[in-house]
Amino acid sequence: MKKVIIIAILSMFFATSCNDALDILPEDSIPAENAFTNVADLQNGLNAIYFQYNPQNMIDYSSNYTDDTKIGADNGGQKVGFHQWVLQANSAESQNMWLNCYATINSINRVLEAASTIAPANAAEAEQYDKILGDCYALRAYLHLEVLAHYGVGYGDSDAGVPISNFVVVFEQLPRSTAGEVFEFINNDLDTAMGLIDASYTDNGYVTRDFITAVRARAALYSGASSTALTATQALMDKYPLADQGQYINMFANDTDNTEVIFKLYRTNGNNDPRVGGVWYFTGTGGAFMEMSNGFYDAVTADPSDIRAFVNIDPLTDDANNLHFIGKYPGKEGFDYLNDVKVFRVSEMYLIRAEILAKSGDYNGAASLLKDIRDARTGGDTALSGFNNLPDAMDEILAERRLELAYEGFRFVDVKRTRSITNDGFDRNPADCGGAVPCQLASTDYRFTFPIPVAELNGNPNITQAPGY
Amino acid sequence: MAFVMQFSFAQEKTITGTVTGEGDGLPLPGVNVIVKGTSRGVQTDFDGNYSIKASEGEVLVFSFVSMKKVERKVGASSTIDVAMAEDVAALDEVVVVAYGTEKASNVTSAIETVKSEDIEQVPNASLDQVLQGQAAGLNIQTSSGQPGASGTVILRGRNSINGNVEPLFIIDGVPVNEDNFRSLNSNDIENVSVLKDASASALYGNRGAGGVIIVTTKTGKRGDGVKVAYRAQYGKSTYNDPGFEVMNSLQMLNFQKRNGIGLGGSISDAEIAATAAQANTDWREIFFRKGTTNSHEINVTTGSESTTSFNSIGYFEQEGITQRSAIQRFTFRSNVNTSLNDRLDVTSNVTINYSKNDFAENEGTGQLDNPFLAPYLAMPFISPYNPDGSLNITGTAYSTQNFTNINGFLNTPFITLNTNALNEISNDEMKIVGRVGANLEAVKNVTVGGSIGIDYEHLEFKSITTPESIRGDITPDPNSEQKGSHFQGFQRNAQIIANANVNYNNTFNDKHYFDLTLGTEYNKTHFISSSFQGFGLNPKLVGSGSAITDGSVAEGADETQYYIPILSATSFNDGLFSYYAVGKYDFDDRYGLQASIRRDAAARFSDTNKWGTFWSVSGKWNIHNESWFNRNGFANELKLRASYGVAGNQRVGGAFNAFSLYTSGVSYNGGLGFALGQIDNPDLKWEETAQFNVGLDFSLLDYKLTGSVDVYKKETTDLFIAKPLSLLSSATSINANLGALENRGVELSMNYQILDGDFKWSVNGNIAYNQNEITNLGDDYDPENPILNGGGTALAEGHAIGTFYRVRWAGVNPADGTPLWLDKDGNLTGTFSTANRVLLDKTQDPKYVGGFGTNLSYKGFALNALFTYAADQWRLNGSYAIVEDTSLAGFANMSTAMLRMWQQPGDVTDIPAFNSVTRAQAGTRYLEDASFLRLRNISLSYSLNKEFLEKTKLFTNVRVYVQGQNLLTWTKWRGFDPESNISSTFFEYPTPKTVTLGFDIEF
Repeated sequence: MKKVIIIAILSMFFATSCNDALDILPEDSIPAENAFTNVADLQNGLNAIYFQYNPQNMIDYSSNYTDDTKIGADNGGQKVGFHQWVLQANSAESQNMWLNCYATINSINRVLEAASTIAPANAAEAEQYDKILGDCYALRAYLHLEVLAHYGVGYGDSDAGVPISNFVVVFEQLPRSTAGEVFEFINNDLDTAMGLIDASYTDNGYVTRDFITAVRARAALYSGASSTALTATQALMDKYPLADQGQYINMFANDTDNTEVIFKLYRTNGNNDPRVGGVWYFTGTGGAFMEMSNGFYDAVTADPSDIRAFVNIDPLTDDANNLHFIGKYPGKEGFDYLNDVKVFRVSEMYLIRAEILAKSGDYNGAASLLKDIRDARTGGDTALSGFNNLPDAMDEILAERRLELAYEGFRFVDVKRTRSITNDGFDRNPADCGGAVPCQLASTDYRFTFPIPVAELNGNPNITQAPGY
Repeated sequence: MAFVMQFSFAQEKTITGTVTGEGDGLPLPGVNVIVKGTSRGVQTDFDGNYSIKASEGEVLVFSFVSMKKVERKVGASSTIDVAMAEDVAALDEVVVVAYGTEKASNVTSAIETVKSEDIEQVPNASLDQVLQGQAAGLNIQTSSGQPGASGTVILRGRNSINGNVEPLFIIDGVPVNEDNFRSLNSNDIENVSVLKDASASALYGNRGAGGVIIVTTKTGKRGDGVKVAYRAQYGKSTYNDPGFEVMNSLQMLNFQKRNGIGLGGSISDAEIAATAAQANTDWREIFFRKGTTNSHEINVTTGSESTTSFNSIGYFEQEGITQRSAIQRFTFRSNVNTSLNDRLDVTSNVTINYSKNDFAENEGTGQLDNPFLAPYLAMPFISPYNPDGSLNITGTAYSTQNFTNINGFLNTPFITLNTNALNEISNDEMKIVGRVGANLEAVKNVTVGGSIGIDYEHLEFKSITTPESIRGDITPDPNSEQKGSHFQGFQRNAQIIANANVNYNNTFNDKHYFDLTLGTEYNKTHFISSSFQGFGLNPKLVGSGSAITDGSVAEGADETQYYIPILSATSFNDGLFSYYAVGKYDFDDRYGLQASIRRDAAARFSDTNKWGTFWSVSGKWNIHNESWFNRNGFANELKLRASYGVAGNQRVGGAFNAFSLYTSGVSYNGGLGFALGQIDNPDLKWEETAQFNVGLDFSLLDYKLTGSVDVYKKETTDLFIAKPLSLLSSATSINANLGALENRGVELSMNYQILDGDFKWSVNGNIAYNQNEITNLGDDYDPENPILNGGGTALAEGHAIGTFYRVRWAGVNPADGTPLWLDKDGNLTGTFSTANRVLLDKTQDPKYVGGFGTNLSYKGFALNALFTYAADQWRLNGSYAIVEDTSLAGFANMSTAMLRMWQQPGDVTDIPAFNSVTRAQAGTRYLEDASFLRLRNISLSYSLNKEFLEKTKLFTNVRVYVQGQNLLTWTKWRGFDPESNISSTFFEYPTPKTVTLGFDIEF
């Protein structure tokens, strides 16, 4: 009997210690099955989606890869290869935007999947639930557009586009869809979102109906859907005026003016949010590893009354010593380089409309929209341009886009998508290049399409690399 | 051995005699003399004399540690004098094996033992580094010269790509953190047993795949009485000469002038001459200092008939060779063994240690306050001194561009000086390793044992950026009114191990020896840490948490909150549960067999993969014990061993890789966000390594030449590799058990006693060759696309881990000074493209490692030397690349190699024209041979004459010595230190050379 008791005690001891050593759950993170159980959880998931998307990639690519920047005096190797157009499947920049956009889309799909199992408890929750879903669809459309713009081989219906991610991808290996399919997917998502988001939402730091219209306009410009673009731009131009000079300054200097801001990403917390200026500056210590190019400096200072010189050029710029600093994101509320990231402004709608009109042969209509912008920026009455053919019109529109949308994520895609009309690639100012930094990227160069990152090629045999890489 | 003297009434006579050593003829005290077949025994006295009662025809057995046993039959004479010969055959020693000890001749596994005399007195605070070169097959290298820094220990090649590669370390039965030895006193160690093959390590189941290193600390000897020893050491450390030179002031200014950049590019020749005359700074002399080492230790050993103990207290203090870097350590140990009666033994080992560690800033990074950056690239024409002769810690007008850019590249040396003078990073550690165990002989031949042990680490971190420092001025924000930051945190890691076992052993017919052990083990890790970082320090209270500005303070028109503290807390547990059996059979001290099996469960795997089975079989043949073997021939002893077994590696991935996890934190616009942190892999399991080993232990040439040779092959399957995922999944890869690799190698270690007697001379050496090959990288692997693995290396089937994958550099085109590379097919090209990368026959890990040394002694003098080496190892020299990157020449000094830069067509040189290439396009240009031969340790000692000491009636041993560590290094590597555990270097802390003076007193 004694032995039985001892054996019983011992076995209990071992069984307990065995379980104690083996049944262990994580304490610092939430296992996936417990993460989303109600609408409030979904809202937390959506917050993380807004936070996950990194618009700085677009700003980086459109400045450091183009003729708008030069290597800074305080450069310790940062961005040098990229600036020299050394772009390969294994370059960091090849992966940064691709991964960030698709990872954000993956998060969106996870929230959508989780939402399908959650029923709102009451009417207020139901409205919030719809808004969350609407935001997810709209952002998914926007993110697909960004990836397509950079990684798509072309924007024609049958051109090789990018994969469409509309479910939670883990082991799936999706091929490129055609650009036409991607545009169709974008428009479908936008339609879905429009049906879910009430017109009463107006906070331009979140998705609104105007955001959806703006995405539609930009996508229509890229795809060549003229009537969609005209309708969408007109709707927004009717609603948002162009900022005057003072409003323009406040829009960038301290984010207080929203006259022409359709959508922006809030950067409100200097202790937590990424600082846009980090694309060119060491945000901790100060010092610019990339600077404004002489080419851009000369263009933006051509008209002394143009407020865009003041907004884009940092006051520490010392032209005599060839130091030109980018000042579009000076920081606010006591934090350097911290500013909201403006994603859609109404001036872009003017420029989209001008381009569509020019392409349809309405050069006068295009010129008058450019004049609207120039008048607002100079605070005066500027001359109406007299271009009368498409290449000339495109040159002027591109030049205006370069000034108006500088350092906001446009320059690279603008040159990429219009080079077949202008036959121009990038042509850097001689003061910005030479030595290891090439001066020109020909309009036919394969590097106008970003390479599929090597990690995608490794994990996805169904994807096709862009030509040339 | 305990000898019991007994009264007896047999018809005996008294035999007397003197026992001497055969070599020196000196009397041997303490020799055991027993009458064979009885328990009658005595010990010789201090003069080697003995007296024992024995009958004619009986046999006296004389035995003494490290002497050959002598037997003499008692005849008519009542005097028997004996001269004992030293027993150089090491095979009869006791060897520490998995879960116990074993007679060397019975061991069936590949085990190498490092003894205390090879460990003691080396002035290095980390035990693992002391082992370098001491056992064949151990590759130990570190990339930090910080006192106490731990290296990476790799035994018989890398077994894992993404999991743990280091052996399991066990100290007195307690598994310990293999990356932290700085708080332990290596002088407490009796021996270190390196378990290399599967029969030795499979018994540690899913932790044994990388081999096992068992450390046994000292204990007293029964009946030895009380001994007290005092040891002291004092030493100086300094940096090793690098294999390159940077330019002096005149050279650099002229270089800048020639290329139209920097200061030299904008001033006249006369100004250059004047500037160069003002300052020509050798920044090495500024950033490296002479560090001191200082240590004191007292140990007390006791030994009664029932209880032995070893107790030590130690103090060790070492300054690194750069400012701030230091360790200060207090160690305490008490080991007690007690036999309560014939049946119960109780053992306790406890060591409690406290160390204070101070660190230099940002070693191994490109941050401008890394003190190992400035000796390369600080400009020589800047003076480090203020006009009054004090060290300038702010910068000059030139280096700060008139104080507008104090954080800029040009100010690098001053940022470093400033940070290292004013700021602090420290780390206080309490480390306890303890165990209590008991063995009870429950019935005859059956012993029940149990033990509980703990490895406990408690760390306090502190990092202070003072308000007045350059870095403090931008912390928390350049615009904040209050400056500086205070980080403080703690971390506790407690690993508890409990073991229960039962053992049966018996010998039948004097020939058949059986031993069977069954055991179970519980192992649990409890980790917790938390920290805070506060901002805006009150200068009067810097160093204390009370200096921190309250987080709610808002400043300026915008009410900006700069001082919101950062808080962090994390915790996790991990556990293992196991049971095992090991059986041994030995026949007539000739043939031996051992088999073991272990079932291990690990908490980190999902329920389907929790349990694994690991096993081994091994055998040995003591050829010299065969009747036909002539022990007096060329070979005196020969032992053949063979083993095969399977062990695992459960330390793959994080503790919770089987779960998909969401993290919660501050998110967009200040809201709360749930973000995906990890995608689950529920199929995860341990890596499995099967190893085959054949070895021969030998003793040749009249026992003068002893050694071992081993051949092994290890195959690792279920290798944890990154399965590439489409990035649409949000991850680049998920780790999965898909790969396989092999390690094959040969090891040889030998010791040759050349001279014996008054003048003793021996040489020893070991060499290990290991070939690593990845055999399978999963179905997704594409041979055209080796998987990049960081540091310029890639993973490829048919190649070793750490194989460099680079574009081949082909020098400089004499026609125009542009760089040349080889394309994939080996043709010259002037265009750099990563498409031209090839897998090279050069790897990060050495193919050959080992050490050799010599011991010379004459009377009281002894000279010992140990050389260590690693051959055929390669590394990217990212540090040196900086001083050949001309795009930095405006603010960074350049190598003197740049003086032979291409200037005009026809120049044949290895340095391309100015700004024609960046270091990102270097390819193999800085892939350098990092093989080295190092005089790791050399010591010369003198021990005072024993007879003289005897007269003092106080001391039993007095020894003084001088010791040098890393005094000489032969290498082609261009840098301060060829040793490293990383494949691409970037301004790491180099290992210093150290000279110490020490003395030992025993009484």
